[in-house]
Amino acid sequence: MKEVAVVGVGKTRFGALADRDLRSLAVESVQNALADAALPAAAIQAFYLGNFAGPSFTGQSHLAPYVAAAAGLTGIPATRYEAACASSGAAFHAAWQAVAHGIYETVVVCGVEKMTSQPTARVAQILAMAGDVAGEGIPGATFPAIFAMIARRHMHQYGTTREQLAAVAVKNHAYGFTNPYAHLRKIITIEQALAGKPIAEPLTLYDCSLVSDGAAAVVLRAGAGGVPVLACAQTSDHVDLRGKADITRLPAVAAAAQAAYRMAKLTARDIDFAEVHDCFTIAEILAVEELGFCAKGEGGPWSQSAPIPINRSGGLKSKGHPVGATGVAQIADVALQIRGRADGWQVEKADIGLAQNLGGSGATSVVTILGKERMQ
Amino acid sequence: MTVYSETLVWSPPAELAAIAPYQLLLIDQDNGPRLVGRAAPGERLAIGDTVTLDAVVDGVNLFRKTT
Repeated sequence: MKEVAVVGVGKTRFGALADRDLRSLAVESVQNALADAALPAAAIQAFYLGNFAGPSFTGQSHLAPYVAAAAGLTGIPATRYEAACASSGAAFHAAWQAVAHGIYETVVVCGVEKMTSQPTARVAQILAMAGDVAGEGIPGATFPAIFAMIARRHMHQYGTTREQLAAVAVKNHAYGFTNPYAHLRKIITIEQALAGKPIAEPLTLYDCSLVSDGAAAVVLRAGAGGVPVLACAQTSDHVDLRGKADITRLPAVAAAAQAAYRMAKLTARDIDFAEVHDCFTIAEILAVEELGFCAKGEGGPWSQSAPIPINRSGGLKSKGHPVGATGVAQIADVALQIRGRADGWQVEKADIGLAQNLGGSGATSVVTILGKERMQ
Repeated sequence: MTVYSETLVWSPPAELAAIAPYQLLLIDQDNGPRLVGRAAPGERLAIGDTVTLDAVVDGVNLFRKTT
């Protein structure tokens, strides 16, 4: 396989951006990534778009060429990838594979979602399409409800507390406060988080990530230079919750992480910092367990002691969660940290960073590791 | 059958707004696959509670605590 590196990063602000449509957000991120890479559009050989529900949110389909042409990219393959909240993680994985196996030299991966033009109840309905609609959605399994049942079970099996869930939200809001691209730059207290409006018990409003608009893009290129991609692995699991033997586990995340560690010749202990998929506070606790940062069941206390920076960008909780943009945004943020360019939110030790992107309640999992230097 | 996990949902999808808050359940059967359903009206269940199927309404299983 060829060496692959992130040679350009482009992001838009995340937020409720009333005056921006899906295409303008995606184009801005692509143009920023090309400018950052100092490459012309003509150098790009394929375009990969991660987007969960653009057709439902905006009424527009055929999104990959729709975006690509507006960004000056025509005459190349342009395809949309849909894997729920891991859509752009899956797009990145496909792009990385193509470059690593020598099919293309230089490609762009973009993730985008425009969510805030729909009323909240419709947003919830569209997001629920990422679950088992007929079997679980109809009885009332919204995504907060799915993760609430996971949280209840985790509390029951491991003694995880409400305070430990709230501590994740408090940390991520404090981190996001310093990120100029973040959607909700607001410091919250543990008392506020605990007293939040109930959404699906035991989760309150403060346990839930944000409904956001935004886009992120990266340029991937074969060879040396840029931020090397040390590993990228994608795995799958049941879409429905009742198909899983133990709902406190994310076996696809563990499998992707183990595959990525093997590929990079690293272990969990080598990771300096990580961007993980905190769609809900409990999801961050599950993520740090499945990534091997701590033993199963210890994610609550481990998160409170915070041995390494997790979600220094603010995570989905504070940075925002434009669903289809999240996977590439995480990778872009890890690359920025490794380049020492996270102005105002730079982590101290940023030699090796990990991005973990989750679709649904764990049915798609993508784990990507970037490093300052390629491992020998 | 026992309750494997549960949540009281305060922020319902539009179709279930009239019955919110409702309690969503994952139920372990003694023999057979795990079931999804809701607590029957007026019921509040906890993990480990033994339950029986009270009714199936519009294809949705409604459970009640076994007495």
